[in-house]
Amino acid sequence: MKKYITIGCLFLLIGACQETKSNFELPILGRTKIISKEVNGIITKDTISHRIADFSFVNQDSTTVTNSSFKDKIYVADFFFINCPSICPEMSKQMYRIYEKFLENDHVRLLSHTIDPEYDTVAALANYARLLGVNSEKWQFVTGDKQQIYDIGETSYMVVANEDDKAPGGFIHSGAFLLIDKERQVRGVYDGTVTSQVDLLMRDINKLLTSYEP
Amino acid sequence: MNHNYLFFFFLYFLIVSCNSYQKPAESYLPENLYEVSQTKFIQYLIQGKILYISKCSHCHQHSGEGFRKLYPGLIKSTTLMNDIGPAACIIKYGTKGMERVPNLSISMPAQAELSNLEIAEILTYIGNSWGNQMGFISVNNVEKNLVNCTSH
Repeated sequence: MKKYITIGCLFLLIGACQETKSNFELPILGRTKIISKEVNGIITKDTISHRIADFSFVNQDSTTVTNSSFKDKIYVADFFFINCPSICPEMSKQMYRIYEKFLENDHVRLLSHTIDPEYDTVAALANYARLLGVNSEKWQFVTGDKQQIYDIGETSYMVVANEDDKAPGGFIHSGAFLLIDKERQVRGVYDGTVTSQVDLLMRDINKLLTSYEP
Repeated sequence: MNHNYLFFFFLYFLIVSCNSYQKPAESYLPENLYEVSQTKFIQYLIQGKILYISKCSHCHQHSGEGFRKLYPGLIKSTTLMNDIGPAACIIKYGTKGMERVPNLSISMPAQAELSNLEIAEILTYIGNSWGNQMGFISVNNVEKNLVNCTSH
């Protein structure tokens, strides 16, 4: 009898562990800001989580892309450039895996920023997307003001992107993939050149999608 | 007695070191080669593989299959198979500014730092791997072809 109880307890324990694991929520990344505001003469404090700043870029179809283009969508963002000889080919390959997996899911979008807007014009990006064979509603390649791209990379997505003559291809940048939720918050950072990291990202996308289900 | 052991040890060492000298598994090696040229061929294959992995495989992939239409595959590639001339030029000087079918793929960067020997090694590896059977591609052959490159 005692034996059965022990085994029963063990099962319960294991079950409970798994339960907590699958319910584990994705963190909200970035520094939270505390702002104080005056309401009716009383100063109150409010915490605001880190969010992606307002942006306006142009995609491969010459369409303007802003934050509202991703309204009610979760998206994966990265930074690349077409003539990048080092890590970008692998990033594109990994991003394409995500594209294929979530092609039918309208809640998921992909956003690739070029960090070489001088060379990666709208026409060049359109050609790149065509050769990759992806539809522009799902996967947007954007270009725009160089400084704005570098700024949003550094301050909103918290990745490195800059010109560097010494780096292969003339730019230094991170191969990170960022998972952004519907509230413009960063929910995960993954190495876009490592298959297992992208596997994890795809699991986290599903997890994030589940959290929005009623 | 002691000397005997030493001798066997050396013999064993020799055999082991010979054995570790094998061509890359997926590569083609013509059978009717003289011993000397076979050794040279294998050296090219091995060096070529090392260079291919560090310089080419990011885009063309480890097994030469390429990726989508962005990076063309190198298996049974007609550009490569017909004549090594254009292939040698593309490796050395890239495809920027080259006359080619427009929008076929994105342009390939130049690898100007590669020596003629290194290009011959890479071409020998690509030309005899994954089902390709082009045979040995010598430095002289590469050198001769690089003179005729149209864009550099």
